[in-house]
Amino acid sequence: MARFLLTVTVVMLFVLEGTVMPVFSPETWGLSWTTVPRFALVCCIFISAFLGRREGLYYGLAFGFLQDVLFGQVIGIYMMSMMVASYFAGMIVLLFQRGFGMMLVTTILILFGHEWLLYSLFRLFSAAPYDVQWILTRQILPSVVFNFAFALIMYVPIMRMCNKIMAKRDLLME
Amino acid sequence: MSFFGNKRLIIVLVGLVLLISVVGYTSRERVNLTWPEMFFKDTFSVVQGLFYRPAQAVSGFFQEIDDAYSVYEENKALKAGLDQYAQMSAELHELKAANERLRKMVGAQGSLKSYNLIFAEVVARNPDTWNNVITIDQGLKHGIKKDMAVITSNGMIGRVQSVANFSATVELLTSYERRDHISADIQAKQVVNGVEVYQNISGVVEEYDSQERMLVMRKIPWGQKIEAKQQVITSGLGGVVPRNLPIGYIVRVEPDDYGLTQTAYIQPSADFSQLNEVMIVERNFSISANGEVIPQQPVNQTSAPGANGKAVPPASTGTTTPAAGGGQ
Repeated sequence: MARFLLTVTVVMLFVLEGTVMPVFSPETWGLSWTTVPRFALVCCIFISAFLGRREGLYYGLAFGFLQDVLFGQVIGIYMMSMMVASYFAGMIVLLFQRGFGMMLVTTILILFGHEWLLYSLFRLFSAAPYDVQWILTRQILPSVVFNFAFALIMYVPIMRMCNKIMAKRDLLME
Repeated sequence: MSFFGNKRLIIVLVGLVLLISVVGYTSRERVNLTWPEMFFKDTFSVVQGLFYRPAQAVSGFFQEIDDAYSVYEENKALKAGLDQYAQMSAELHELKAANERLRKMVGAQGSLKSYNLIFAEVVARNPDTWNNVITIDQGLKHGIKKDMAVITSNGMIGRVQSVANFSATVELLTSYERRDHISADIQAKQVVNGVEVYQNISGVVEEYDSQERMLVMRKIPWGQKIEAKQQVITSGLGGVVPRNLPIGYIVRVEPDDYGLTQTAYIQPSADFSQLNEVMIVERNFSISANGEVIPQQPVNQTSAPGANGKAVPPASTGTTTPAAGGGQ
């Protein structure tokens, strides 16, 4: 039940990315920078940190696949990038202590790394804009800040849900 | 065998090979979607529709409040524009009549301009900028096919990238990863020996400059004089895009890198930030790769509630010289 709730939450957040968030995007209000909401990725990072990196890898794979199928033409780019991002999130957390501050630093790093990986992939395969500084200041950094703010909001709810799943898992182990 | 004992390595390698083969298979230009893709797209389009419409309605409400403050100035400008409207519409009527008479004399039947419209609602938009697409709620079952042009009331916004049964994905002109080039015409007006000459200058809209937020039109012949504010329309010489769909206005023109042709920067006339209702343009005939004209089968109107009769092409200032006949 707890797992079902968690999955449905992430799916809903994923749907919100493509439907409600365009209304709030700065471009709609005439500003020059763009923020790309990556709610599903933020959730995957937290899941990977709380439930283990293998779990995070599966969630990243699933939601990357959804992103690819629904909005992309080539299947595999987001699948790969989100999978790698959430796996590494689990790995970093494993190396250090799992505190609140550590988690936030990890989230910033992973979000930035993910945007950067995507930029390099699209630059490699198609006509992404060549001006690195432009894309960095107009898209990547605002997106990281925006998603980080979202991560601050979602930290406690996701942690609670994950703790419930962990409790159930411990119960089964005994 | 220590190599096969290392299970994790094997799994990673197999996964990598699978991933690369899936990327390789899907990155080609595909005619149809596979059924799992259709299933996911259709299912999610229903769910997304439940969220997108209320969100847009709320945002539209606030936009309208915003608009209410500028009503006075807008009204003034509109009234000024309306003065010319009566004269313009009379002129257009006259030109249409003349055009029809001349076409009858020549014996031309089809036109590059004729098309039907299918109305659709937007259900989702990709938040990412790499592949800027929207999802609409009409699909194969409503007569939508790949590569059809998509317009709003203001102008062209893109083309259908892929179609599922009850939904379709539209690639916007502003997408970084665009693969299509659009054959377009600039409606230019030149003064030759003191006489005004209307003329279409052709070129190809190739890409979107995201830094300047303008479309880039290349391969415009050298020596043609193009001025700002001149309108750019689709030429109808390609496969499925009919003539006369407005694309935008010229902002500036500069010589290209080799100095053989000109490059024009175009301000799109459609507003890409707020997309609610779009129209899919179904041409009455299409041209195959070998240049043969394939007439469109009449759509059975029972299943398509949105498909209406022949649409009148948007009236421009009467400058277009009608191209005769089909593709040959």
